[in-house]
Amino acid sequence: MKAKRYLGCLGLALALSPACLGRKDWHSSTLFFFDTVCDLSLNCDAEEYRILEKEIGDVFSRVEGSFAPGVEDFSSSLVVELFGPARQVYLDSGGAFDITVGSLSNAWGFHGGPQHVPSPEQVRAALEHVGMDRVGLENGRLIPPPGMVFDWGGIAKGFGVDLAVKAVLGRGVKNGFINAGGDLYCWGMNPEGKPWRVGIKNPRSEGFFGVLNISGVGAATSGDYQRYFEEAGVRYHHIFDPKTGYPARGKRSVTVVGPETKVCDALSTAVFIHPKPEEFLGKYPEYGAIIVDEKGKYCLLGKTYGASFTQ
Amino acid sequence: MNRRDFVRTLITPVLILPWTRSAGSSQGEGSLHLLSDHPEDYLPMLIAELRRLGIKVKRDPIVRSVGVGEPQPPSFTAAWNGRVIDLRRSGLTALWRRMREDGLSRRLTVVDLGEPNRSGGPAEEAMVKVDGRVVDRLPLKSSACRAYPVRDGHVTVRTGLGFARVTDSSCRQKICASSPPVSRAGERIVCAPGRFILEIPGRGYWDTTTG
Repeated sequence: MKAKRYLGCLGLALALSPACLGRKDWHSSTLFFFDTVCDLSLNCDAEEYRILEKEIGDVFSRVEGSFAPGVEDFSSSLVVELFGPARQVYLDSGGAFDITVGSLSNAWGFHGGPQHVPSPEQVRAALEHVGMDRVGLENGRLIPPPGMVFDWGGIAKGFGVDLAVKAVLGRGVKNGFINAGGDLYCWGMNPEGKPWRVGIKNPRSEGFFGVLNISGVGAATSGDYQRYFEEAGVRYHHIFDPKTGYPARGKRSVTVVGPETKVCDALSTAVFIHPKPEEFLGKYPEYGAIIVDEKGKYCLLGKTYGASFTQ
Repeated sequence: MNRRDFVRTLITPVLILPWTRSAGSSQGEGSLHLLSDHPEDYLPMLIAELRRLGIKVKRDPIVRSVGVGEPQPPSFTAAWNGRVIDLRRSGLTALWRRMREDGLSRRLTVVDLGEPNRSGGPAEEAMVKVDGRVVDRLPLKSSACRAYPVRDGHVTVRTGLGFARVTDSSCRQKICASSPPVSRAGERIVCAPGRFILEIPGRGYWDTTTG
C-alpha cells in the first residue's frame, strides 16, 4: 500500500517536472560551419531546442553547401535569392562590395594556396575577372562571364543567420541569439532580462573595445586581423578593394548593426573598403557602423544602437 | 524616464569604461610587459621579482598576449603608478641572459597588475572540447603542455600561472595559436578546422561577441 502511494507521488512529481511541463529554459550549443564557430542560445523547452538545433544546423549546412567557392549552382534558389541584396549593396557602395573578387582571393593565396603578394601583372590579370555588373540573371539563373570566381564570404554567413533566425522565430522562440563567427542576430532579452551585451573585439590586441546593447537586430564585423599574412613588415589581409586588387587600407575593423544580418555583413565589407563610407551609408537609415581606423581611433556612422566604448 | 532608469543612465558609462578599455591601454596601477615566445618560462620569476620590490601582484592577474609584427629581441619591463621600473637592474641578470639566447620573439605578453577589467571571474580550470565532446579538464594553476588529436592533426595547449593558451596547431591559418590566453569565465580559444575549443567554463561578462 505504502509502495503504491510512493509510486503515485513519484508519478505526480515526474508529471509536474519541468521537462514534462515543457518549461522554457536557456539552452546553448556550439556548432562548426562556414569554417568557423557558430553559437546558439535560445530560451525554449528542451525538446523544442533539440529540434531547433538540428534545424539551424541544416540551414547552415545548406547555405555552406550552396556558397562554397567554385561549387555554386547558379540556378539554386538560395544563390539567386542572395544575389539580389548583394547586388544592391554593390550598386549602393559604388562597387566597394563585390562578390566577384574570388580571382583576387585566389591570386593572393587566401583560397587554399600559399599566401603571398602577387606580382602587379597577376593582380591585373585577376582584376579582369572582377565586376558584379557583368553577371547576368536570366530565367532564374546567374550567368557569370568565363573565368569569374565568386567569393560569397562577405555575405553568406549573415544570410545563413537570417534564415536560421527566421526558422526559430517562426516557432515562437521569444528570446535568443544566433552567432555564426561574429555575424549575429539577437532578439528578446538575455538571461538577466536585459538587452543582449555584445562585445566588439579589439582589432589589435586581446579584449574588447566596445559593447553593443541590442535586441531585435543583427551585427557583423569585417577586420584585417584574422585572415592575414605579413611580408616585409606589411600586413596583407583578405578584404580586397575591387578597384585596385590590393587589400583595402585605412581601417582595422568595421562593425555594422541593423535589422538584417546579411546586409550588416555586406555593409561591413563595403564600409571597410570605401574611403568615404558616409557617402553611401545614408542609403541605409536603419544601419549604423562602428569604425576603427588604422590609427586605432574609432568613429560612429549612422544609427548607433547603444554602442558604448572608450580608448 | 523613472528615477531608477535615470540613475542607471548616469552610472552605466562610468561602469562601462573599465570594461571596454582597449587591451593596449593598460589600466589600473601598473603592468608588466614581456616580449618572449615562452612567457610561461619567465613570468613566474618576473612576478616574484615584482613582489620582492613591493609591487602588489594580484593572485590571478589578467594576462594578455599579442603578436608583434616584426620579431624582436626578448625583453621585459614594468610600469607601476606611472613609473617605468627597469627590472634588469633588480637581480634578473641570469634570466635576462637566458632570454637573449632564445633568439627573436614574436609574442608580447602583458600582465595587468591592476583591477580586473573584463569577462567573468578567475577560474580554476579550462575545458577542452573536440567535436563537441569534453575531452579534458586542465587545472590552470599547474604548468602543463598537452597535445590533442583533432581532424587532420593536433592542437597543443599549455597551462600555468592561472591561464591556458594554444601554443601550436596543425591548422593552416593558426588563428588559435596567435589567440591571447584565456583565464576567466566565458573566455575561449577556437580552432575551427580542428573543431577544437579551449574554454573557461562559466558565464562571462559578454553574452556573445562580434569581430
